[in-house]
Amino acid sequence: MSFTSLAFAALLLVTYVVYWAAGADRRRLQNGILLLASTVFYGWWDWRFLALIALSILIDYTVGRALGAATGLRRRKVLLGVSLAVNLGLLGFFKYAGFFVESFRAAFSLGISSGFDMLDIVLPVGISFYTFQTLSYTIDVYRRKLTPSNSLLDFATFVSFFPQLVAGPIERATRLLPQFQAMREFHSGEAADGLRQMLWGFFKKLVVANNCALLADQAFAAPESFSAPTLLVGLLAFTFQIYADFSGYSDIAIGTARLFGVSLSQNFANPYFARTIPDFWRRWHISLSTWFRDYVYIPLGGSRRGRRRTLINIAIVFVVSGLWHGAAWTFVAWGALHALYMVLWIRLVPEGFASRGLTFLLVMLAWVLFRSPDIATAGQYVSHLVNPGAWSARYQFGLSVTAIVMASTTIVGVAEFVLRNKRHGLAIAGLAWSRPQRWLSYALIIAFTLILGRISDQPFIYFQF
Amino acid sequence: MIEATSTKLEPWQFLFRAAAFSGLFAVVYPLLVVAWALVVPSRVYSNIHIASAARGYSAARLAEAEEMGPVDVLILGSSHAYRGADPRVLAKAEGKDSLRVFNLGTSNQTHLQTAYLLDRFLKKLQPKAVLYEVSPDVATGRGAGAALDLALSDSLSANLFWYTLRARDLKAIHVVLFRAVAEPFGLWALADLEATGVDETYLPGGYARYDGKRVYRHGSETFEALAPTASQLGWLQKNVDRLLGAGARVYLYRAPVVKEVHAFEVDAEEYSQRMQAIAPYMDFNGRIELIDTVDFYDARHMRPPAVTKFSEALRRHYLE
Repeated sequence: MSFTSLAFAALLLVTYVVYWAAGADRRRLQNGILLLASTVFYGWWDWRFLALIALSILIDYTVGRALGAATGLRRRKVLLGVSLAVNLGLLGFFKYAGFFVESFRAAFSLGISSGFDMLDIVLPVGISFYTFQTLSYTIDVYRRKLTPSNSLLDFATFVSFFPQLVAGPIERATRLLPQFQAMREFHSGEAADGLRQMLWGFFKKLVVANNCALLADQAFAAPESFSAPTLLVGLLAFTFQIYADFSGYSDIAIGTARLFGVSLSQNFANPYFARTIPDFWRRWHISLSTWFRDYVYIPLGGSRRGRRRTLINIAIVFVVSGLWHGAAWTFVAWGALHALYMVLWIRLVPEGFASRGLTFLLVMLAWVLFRSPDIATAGQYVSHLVNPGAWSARYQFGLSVTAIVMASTTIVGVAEFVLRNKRHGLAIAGLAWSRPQRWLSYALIIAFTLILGRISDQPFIYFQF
Repeated sequence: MIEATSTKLEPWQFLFRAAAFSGLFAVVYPLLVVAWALVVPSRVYSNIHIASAARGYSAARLAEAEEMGPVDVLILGSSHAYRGADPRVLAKAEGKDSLRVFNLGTSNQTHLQTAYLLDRFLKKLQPKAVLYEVSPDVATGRGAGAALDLALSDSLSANLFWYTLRARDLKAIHVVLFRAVAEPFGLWALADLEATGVDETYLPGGYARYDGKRVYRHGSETFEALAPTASQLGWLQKNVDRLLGAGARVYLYRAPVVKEVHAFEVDAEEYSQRMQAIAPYMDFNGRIELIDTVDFYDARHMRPPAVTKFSEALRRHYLE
């Protein structure tokens, strides 16, 4: 069920009414309501996916309980291994099996069929997100940072919480699980700002991202048929599309959770205003970056084993992060390019140097790899973009859509920069506006979303991951 | 979103305040739509576009249907129907007096929009027989294009608004909202719609005849495989049941298209079986001799000589 569907609006309304009617003092009943809503939300895509998430929940709940009772290190390691094997095994099979087999066949030019063609494995939506979330639970219990949950209901609600189930933010068990173990109170100020945040997210998704997609999709479908100015705008469009799409989703998710008295982590912090590449990664998809930092980079040794090993660790994390995004060489290359950026930035750039322009340019160039269907197309895109001859050709996108893209992107950029210390770009309650002023601003945002938004079935980009 | 941070509200109070805002917005929004439609040039991309002409002469056809009275034969369907079946030819059934035939096809008409048109005209037209064009391309989606066409072309009513909502197309909804405000204030009228078409002439009885010189060229269009939806097939079944309930004989047919389309869109055999389970069905592709590059002006529409040939075949098969 997509956030932009009428079904979601209906589910949200019903869940809100039933959830608060149950009473804040009936925590377990409220969790049951959230779990039921999450089951409907996730099963809406394909009811078979429910079996996978149920398996993850049961395994990790059981492992967590066993880890809590186990004292011997060897037994604890075995239990952690079981959780890692099951979760990463499921993720590996559904997301990467075809990719690795095909890559192996291609590398060794084997003329035999892998059999995976015929299996036609369907990627369960959100599997990368909830797998990492549930892994954070078992790892933290293993590290004794977290007391294992003694309620399957609480744990299942934590893993499957519908606002962030399919595209994050990837929550840590240490942060989210205790919220389902405690009473939640209704704060109308929080709920009001949650709705504002949702509205802002819808504006970003439907107006900015979906209109940008119109230009980016054309440019990346056949870069050879466009002039360099057109390709540059196509690349800028994708740069803003992916931000507006993903951060829009995060805003809707966080805003929705706030309606239920649940606080989710911030996932973006004005990443395109970053002054350095390391700074960009502190601002982009924060919940994933910090996950990799805490569960991959630091266990590899982090920066504790000398400069050379630090750089190797960084490279490993970025390549794995690229692969997390999708089973394709373009994502691996995108991760590797960011690893290179990081390594070069740390080694070559003088300390204290900062440039928003350079950072933005490097990030934007890397998106070519991320968006292209294959490495060859990415190469074609860049070579056409830097070909001086291609700059004399005329601009080929419609001026009307281009103007909408530019105007809406500017509005989002300015609002989020001005309100950068707030939770989102529509956090105007703090500006002490009167109710008529606020209501007028909401009405205008909704109206512009309905008039200029592309209210289509264009899915959120990160659903595919 | 609605309340001042200083006020503490209960969940239900908060919900009521959100509902109050929504109600107010529902009143104000149509005014904004009208303002946008009147002020912003139509070349600016938006979801509000009040076209100056309805596609496929729907306004003229619906106005004629309003005055028509009972008919012997009613044709339903999309442009395959109104551009492909000539009522004048169908009227001349051998061994019978001249039949009263009316073509109620409209652009992209899916079975959902057919249901709306039956609401509007079934009692007025009281057809004895219905030739219902059921190409697979109109059994997909919710008929956004057709909803937009009807929203612009038919007289405004609560039922039109209801069916437009069912198609879930924002552009069509905006047209209805615009008309709901603009018409009472004299800012727009159905009569303002131009009855024009490119190389086409509307003939009384609902047929739109192609007068141009274009012929279909292989490779000039791309096609995609179609998957008729359960919802649309459900509407088809309801429409057929309703027509049978009104005492009409119902015949389903698939009009000729170029061979590439016919081969590619759906499995014709399987589709035939599905249709035959609903009502008598005939796929006319391959049953009359037509040449793609001579008898068609695009992949789905025939030139007038082929329309005549096909209409005769349709008449022979179902009406004689």
